[in-house]
Amino acid sequence: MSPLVLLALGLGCRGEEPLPKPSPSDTREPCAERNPLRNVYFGDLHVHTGLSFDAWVQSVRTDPDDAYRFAKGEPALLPPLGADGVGTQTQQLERPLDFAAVTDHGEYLGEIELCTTPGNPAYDTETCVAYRNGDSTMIYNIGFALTFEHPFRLPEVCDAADCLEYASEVWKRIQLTAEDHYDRTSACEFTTFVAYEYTGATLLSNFHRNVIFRNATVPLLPTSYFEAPKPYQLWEALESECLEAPGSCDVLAIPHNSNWSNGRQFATLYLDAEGVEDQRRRAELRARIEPIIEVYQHKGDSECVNGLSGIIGANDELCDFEKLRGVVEPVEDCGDEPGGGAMGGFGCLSRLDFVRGILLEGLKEEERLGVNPYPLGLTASSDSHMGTPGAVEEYAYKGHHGHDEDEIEERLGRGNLTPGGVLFSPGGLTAVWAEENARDAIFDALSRKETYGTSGPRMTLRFFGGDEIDPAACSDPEWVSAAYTGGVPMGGDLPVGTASPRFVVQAARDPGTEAHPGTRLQRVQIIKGWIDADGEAHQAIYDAAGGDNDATVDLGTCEPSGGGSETLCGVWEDPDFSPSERAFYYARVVEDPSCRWSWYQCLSLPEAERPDTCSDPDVPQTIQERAWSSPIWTHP
Amino acid sequence: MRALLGEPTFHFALLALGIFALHAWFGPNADDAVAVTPQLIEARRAALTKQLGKPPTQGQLDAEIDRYIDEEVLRREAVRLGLDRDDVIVRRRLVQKMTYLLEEQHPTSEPTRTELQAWLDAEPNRYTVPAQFTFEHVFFAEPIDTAPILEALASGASPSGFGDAFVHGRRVRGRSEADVSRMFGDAFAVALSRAPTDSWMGPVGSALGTHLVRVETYSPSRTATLDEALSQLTADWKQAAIERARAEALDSLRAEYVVRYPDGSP
Repeated sequence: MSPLVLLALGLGCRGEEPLPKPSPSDTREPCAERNPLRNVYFGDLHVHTGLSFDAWVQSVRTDPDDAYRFAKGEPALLPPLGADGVGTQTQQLERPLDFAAVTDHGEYLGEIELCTTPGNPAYDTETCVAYRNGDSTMIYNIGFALTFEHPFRLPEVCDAADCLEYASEVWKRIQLTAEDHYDRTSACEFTTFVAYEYTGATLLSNFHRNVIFRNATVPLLPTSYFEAPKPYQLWEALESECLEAPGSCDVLAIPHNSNWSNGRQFATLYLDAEGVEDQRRRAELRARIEPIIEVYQHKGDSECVNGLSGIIGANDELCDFEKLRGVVEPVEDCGDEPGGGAMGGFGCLSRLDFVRGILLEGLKEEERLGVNPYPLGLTASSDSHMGTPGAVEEYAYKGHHGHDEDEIEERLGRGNLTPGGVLFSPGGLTAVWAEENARDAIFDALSRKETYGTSGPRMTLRFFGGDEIDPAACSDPEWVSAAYTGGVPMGGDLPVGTASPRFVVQAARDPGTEAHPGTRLQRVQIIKGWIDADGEAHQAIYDAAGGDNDATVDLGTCEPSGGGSETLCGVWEDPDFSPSERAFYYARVVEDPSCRWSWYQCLSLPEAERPDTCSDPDVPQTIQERAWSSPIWTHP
Repeated sequence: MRALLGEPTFHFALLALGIFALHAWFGPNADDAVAVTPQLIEARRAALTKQLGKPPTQGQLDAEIDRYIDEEVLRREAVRLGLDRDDVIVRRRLVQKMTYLLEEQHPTSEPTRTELQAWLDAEPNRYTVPAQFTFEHVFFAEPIDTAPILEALASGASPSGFGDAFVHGRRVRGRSEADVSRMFGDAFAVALSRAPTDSWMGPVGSALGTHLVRVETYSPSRTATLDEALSQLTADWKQAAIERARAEALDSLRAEYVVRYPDGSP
């Protein structure tokens, strides 16, 4: 008998043994330091690499390993590709991140592996050849399949091989890479998460979500748009395959680019639900799986927009920030009927495209159902499609999406569909307040929404509310400790019966680096949203600290002068607080103006060679970078 | 890699390989009827029930069993004609499964502390603890003459009566130089690394204002101890053991094969 047969016989019996027990939640050394008052950690929870169908085709060859290395401070190689098939530009973070999740598109993971690895059974199919050649009709079809109400996988490729089987191998690689880069020592220097992006875009309205797993225990395959073409099917799949599965699986999903959804991302909650009880269950499921939303990223701002119906209150001038739609020509208001086509630049704009309108809608639903389906905390991320988490500095923007944007002239172009040109931006970061830099602590922070999003800079922002908040908190160096016991932090709910809540907000500018110092802070604001006795939605904006100043930027050099503060602190009480109204309050810290990435790049070109976007009044030369805290809610 | 052990398909593959081996051992004359066992029928009934959302009718179940028999006949004919031999998918799957088998041939035991210590000693640079500070400070948002306060602190006054609220707190424990840079700015972190321990000093400027500082401890960068890196070391050790098992098994298998290159050399 050959040794091979013996081997097979011997091991064959093991197939009948019971399944091994799931691993514990997170096998690691305890962190050497654990701060009960919590530290702020910065990360990027939205990152694509060459495993994403829309990145590989743009000559992006970084993989998850490269992306995590980049996040930890190593250089990445970016398009254009050299003759050896490797990127020829480099980029490197000045400051590493604390945590990152690579979120490649869950759709087509197997297909792209099949089409891009020679020797695979589908490699020579017409579809794969066209994909590798960057054939625009093929690329369009691949993307367009994700807008169908009944989507199907690429027939030719998935006839030639089992696409899901290949996807499961790529998915395992994604998991192993996340494990490799997670610091399990007591130094607790860097945290990774196993993650992917769900990429549904029914009727060209954005339904995208980043699905983030707490630890190494994850489903066998990512549930993609192909398996779950309706958002509730994703939530149900995550519930049954993770939350309710035996073992330590835990998950959350972060919706993003509601600004590209014609109101549809937040209008389809009750699809196929029957009756109020069913709706309530759906609302609970959604609130459980989606505690946070990405308010800002490469494809624009999703905080707020002025002039849409359904929200009463004075204009909020600071809403005019990094908008993709309605900049050049006004866009029709969806009103109460969602539209379609936003990802192609079409269709109406809805108050439900923006976080403020979504939060208000959540309050209304809470009034009706007793459950708020949208009690959303805020985060921001880059959505890099080059495997470069945290590459969000305005002065170092190398494009977002590979070879279509690897030259300044291309980046400053008008763009149309993504990749998109001058109105797009480098994106932002997620900040969390956590006891230590480890998976459980950061995942818990995301779950309880003690988070804020920034448009790129690493400013620090603390925000607490409650009856017991000390009116003199800003002059008490120990105020945070008291605020944790006598109030709730960002993302929290004030207890029913709160009589006159007080809020304390404290911010520090991003210190920056020696080469690129941070910008000073102009003001910290509190934004209030509430539903009145008649069921009408309102907004109001207050300055809690800082205000108008003389800050300017030299547009010849981008040097700032004059202006704001290194730190700001304010205690604020709502002059119109009513214990019988549902309301939320969130903080917004705003920097003095600084040069936008596009203006840095215009300046780098001789005046005669600058494209017309450099002198287009619709393209701002400066921006006011900012951070948005998760809200604090009050309940009657 | 170990997660594969939990996969039903993997178990099935192992079982199949075992059956295949038995078949080879007993030779081609063994009973090779297409067996429709009670277990098979039950498994198909369960699968159909899940698919249909209710138990299948007898007709549906019969059709399903019939499909299975067809499939099995076709599979056996394909193997008989050698169709599996030049098929990329079959080849890839077999190679993959064999690789897993080789890795599992020497199931990795839990490493001992001695083994882990040896591993750590061999690669100390993979397991470093960065330089860390623990310090307390008094923060002043606005410019102020700090000399009298420094004097008071130096002579033992409590710091809690002085300064403004600071967004990262009054005491910073066990943070790396990079973390301190990010919270206070580069220049502050540099000043801190040069500060004496256990005495108040300043004023030290930061990106955010002015500080009086007392460094409690500064620990330079060093290699982690065994306990500080135990899980990481264990995971890395096991991964290496799996890779070693595979390489060794492959070596001994290759020793049984003759390889001939185009020029005829072995």
